Amino acid sequence: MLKIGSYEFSSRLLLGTGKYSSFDVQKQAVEVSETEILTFAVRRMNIFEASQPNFLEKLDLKKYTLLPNTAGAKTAKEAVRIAQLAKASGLCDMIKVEVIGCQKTLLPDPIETLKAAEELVKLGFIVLPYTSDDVLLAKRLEEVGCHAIMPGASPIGSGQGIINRLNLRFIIEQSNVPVIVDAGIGTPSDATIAMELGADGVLLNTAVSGAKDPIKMAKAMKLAIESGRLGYEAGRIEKNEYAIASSPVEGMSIG
Amino acid sequence: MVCFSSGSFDKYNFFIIEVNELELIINGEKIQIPANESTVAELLQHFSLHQKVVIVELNDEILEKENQNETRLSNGDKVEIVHFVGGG
Repeated sequence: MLKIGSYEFSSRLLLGTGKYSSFDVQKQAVEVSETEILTFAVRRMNIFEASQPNFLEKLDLKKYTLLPNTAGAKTAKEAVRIAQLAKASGLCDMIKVEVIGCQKTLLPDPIETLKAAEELVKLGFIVLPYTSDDVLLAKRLEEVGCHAIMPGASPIGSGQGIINRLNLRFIIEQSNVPVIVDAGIGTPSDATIAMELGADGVLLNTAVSGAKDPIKMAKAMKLAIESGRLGYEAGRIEKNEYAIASSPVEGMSIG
Repeated sequence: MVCFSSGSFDKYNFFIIEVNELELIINGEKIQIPANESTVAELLQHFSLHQKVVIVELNDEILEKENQNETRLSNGDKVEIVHFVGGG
């Protein structure tokens, strides 16, 4: 079970809802992924196109917990405002804090992220900050009361997988709240590695929505995350420099 | 509300139709709505948004859903109407 604040989930996959080719493909991808947490962004509505369908309307909202993000915010103040708008929908009290500090790399601004997270905890949100893989920043985010820490594997949408396994391992080892690897996942094996390192979950979007067959990739990601988790729980063998025979060395009928 | 007035000035007759409208700034754009639709709930209905998941901010203050019916709009009010879109 993945426990975040007062919530419990049996799936460890958090799925983004951006950039799908169609609602139909997206709906099927969401279903086969068996995710229970879907992320969304908050944006101005085109009031003259009210008839345009919205993906949210196509979902059975009893089945999913919504995790709106504060994407678009450049400061803590903007992030807090977006979080409050999202909460006023009456549909959610979880928030993914995302305060981008650089438009080219989309890396988070650590200082504004920490400020926003602290404020949102005080306001009673369940707070999941997207952060870099900085070990000490992850600690500080936990200390201000965040309910999970979400370090990036590599830049958003880059599909580069986990760049710094060591930092990720340090963050996982020190954390008393769930660690969810967010951003940069490209392949199912990237997700498996994150889970084998002991991550509590993986948040991904483009890896599925941008795949040639998003529905198949959604299934692959689900299995990869389950596989990595089982591997982590089972406990891996020690690495050795030289070979260690699997077959008995005694009782051979030769010589 | 529509007001009519007519009369004559010198040799010209005039006939004025004055339609009462509210001018609001919705999502950064100046937009006129009929003055009889002057609550936030009526505004949402005007744009067929009343059954959508939308969040309204009025003059930088978030408006709780239960207050949409009695909150009245005035000329020049700044209204933000936002919703959830796909995102990661």
